[in-house]
Amino acid sequence: MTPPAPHEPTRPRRTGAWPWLFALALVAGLVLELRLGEVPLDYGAIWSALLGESDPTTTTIARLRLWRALTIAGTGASLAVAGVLVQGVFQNPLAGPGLLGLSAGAALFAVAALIALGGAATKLDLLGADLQTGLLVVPASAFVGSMLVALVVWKLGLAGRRPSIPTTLLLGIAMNILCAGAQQFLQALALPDWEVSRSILVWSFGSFEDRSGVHALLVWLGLAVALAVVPFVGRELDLLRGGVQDARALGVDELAVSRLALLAAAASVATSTAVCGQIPFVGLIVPHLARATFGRAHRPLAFAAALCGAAFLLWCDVATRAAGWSGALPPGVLLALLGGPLFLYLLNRSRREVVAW
Amino acid sequence: MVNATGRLAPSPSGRLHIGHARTFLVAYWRARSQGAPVVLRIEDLDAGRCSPEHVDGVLEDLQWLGLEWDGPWRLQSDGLQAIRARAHALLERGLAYPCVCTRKEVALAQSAPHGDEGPRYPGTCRGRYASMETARAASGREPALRLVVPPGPIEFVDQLHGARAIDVQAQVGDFPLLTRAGEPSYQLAVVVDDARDGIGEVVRGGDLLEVTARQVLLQQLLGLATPRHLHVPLVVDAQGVRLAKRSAGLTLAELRARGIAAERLVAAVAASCGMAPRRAGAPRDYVDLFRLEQLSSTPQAFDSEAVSFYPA
Repeated sequence: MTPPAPHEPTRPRRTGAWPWLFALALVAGLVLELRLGEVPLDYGAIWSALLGESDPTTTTIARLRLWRALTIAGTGASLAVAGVLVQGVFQNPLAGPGLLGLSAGAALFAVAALIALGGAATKLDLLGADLQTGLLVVPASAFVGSMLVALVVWKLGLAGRRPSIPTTLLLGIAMNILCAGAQQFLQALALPDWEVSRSILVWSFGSFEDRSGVHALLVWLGLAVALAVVPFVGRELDLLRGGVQDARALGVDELAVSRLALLAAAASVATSTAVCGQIPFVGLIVPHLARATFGRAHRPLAFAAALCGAAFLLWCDVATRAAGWSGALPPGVLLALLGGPLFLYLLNRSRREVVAW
Repeated sequence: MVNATGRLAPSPSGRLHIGHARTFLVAYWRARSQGAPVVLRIEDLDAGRCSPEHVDGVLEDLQWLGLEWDGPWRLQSDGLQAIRARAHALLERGLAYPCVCTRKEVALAQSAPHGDEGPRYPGTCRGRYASMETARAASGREPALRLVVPPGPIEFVDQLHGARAIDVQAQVGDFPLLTRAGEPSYQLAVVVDDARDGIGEVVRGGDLLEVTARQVLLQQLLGLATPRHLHVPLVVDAQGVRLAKRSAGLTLAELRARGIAAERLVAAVAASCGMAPRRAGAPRDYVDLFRLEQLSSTPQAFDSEAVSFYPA
């Protein structure tokens, strides 16, 4: 006997040309990232440099651009996938790794690790140098922070109960305040050591500058973890959307599913936060964009969100670079400026829902 | 937790003399007294003055002194690719530019007299060429790479000499990152290598106090942490003349040849740092006695006669 699907919209929507358009945007974004920069290089020069058939200057510059582009794409994808997973677990379209405090938790623990390493944030961006301890300690610590926040929000707001949108969001606000306060406390402690403080400050703005292959690898590892988990929780999250009781009746272990999904989200948030600093709103906005075009079934949605997230963040960066603001407008700041109004728009659109709380 | 990792960074352009010994001992004591490791990096980038036999000589001198370091020592030239890549990354960010001026042209452009630093670079090539390629094509010369130095003072703190503010643009102008032969400048190399080795505290000779501002600027532009600095006053001979590498009679090799025990020199240096000299004291025996506050900020007079007064 086939169980009746509790909600029809989980069936994949006819997506038409959208996936191709997003894929095209992603490729175009990557190509533009390779092309844009202070040193003018045409496509042929970039290509031969990437193949290692060029002078050291061009080779270095082409590689820098490649690693940078891959880091950005991986970060956008990671945050978007984390957003899909978190929104799935909390069954709340206004949840996101940022709003729930996952990013803040990652940032808090990353800062703690940076201080423990004596401001060795800077070890994070050594071009082509050996693997440094900071490279692994900071993301690992960020993962712990992100995971802790996820567990707290989940335990207090969800476990075994019907998810309540206001409760999870308020919990997220509380976690954000807590983490931000603790981070400021740590920064205040580190203030006498100006160099450590400066490196934390620079890191907290977020940056895509001077990325190396190791950075790109780290971000893509986090993304791979998150995407690898999606096939195991996608269908279950779809079923949970129809209600915990129904899902249980269909054999869904909602505890295990939520735990696994949050673990995956925390991993991808942690690696991207550790490498690029806190980048807000991508995890909130991009899943909406993906849902609007790819439907609500979690498996295709997560992969679609990865595609959209990568393209989205690449184009944000291309736009700032083309406008010549890349030095003055760190990605974290840009996304906050961009994401705030978008969030207001979303809230306004779902006003009826908000009033119903 | 403060990163106090120190370094010994001799350059193999000759044998070490008493002045070097004092700087390296202070560097060693400073790091070890804070429970931090010391790394040994031999700065052999100046191909014109450094040679492999001097590398052996420097190692021999350091070992004779009884200095210890953590991990294997390495040559700065081993990390050449990473250093060059940093210069190219600055070019890509618009913070460096190709320059085809020769030394002579720079000197001619500057009518005012200049010190031993060489003339200030007036920025002739700034904004002239978009890439190394165009510079090469337009001038027919291999271009060097210079940093865009912002106007105004660069501030840093030395633990012995206090706060400093140095206007690098007024002093040397846009200083080179890579020479026309593609060799990294000392400033760039030392900044990249200090970051690579995770150095938290730089202890070196007082003659480098002024150029520190250039390194601080580079650290800021490259997003690297600035280590703390301690510039140890130079050692002068009995006549008050600064010891250069060439000053005969005061190299460690010569002291050794004359049968002076390393422990005597270590004791003499320890005394000059405000510690009570000990009999048969190796550098490690003074680690617990070392206090930064005891260090004088004025030049220290030393000669081989004085050294022989101290216990072996």
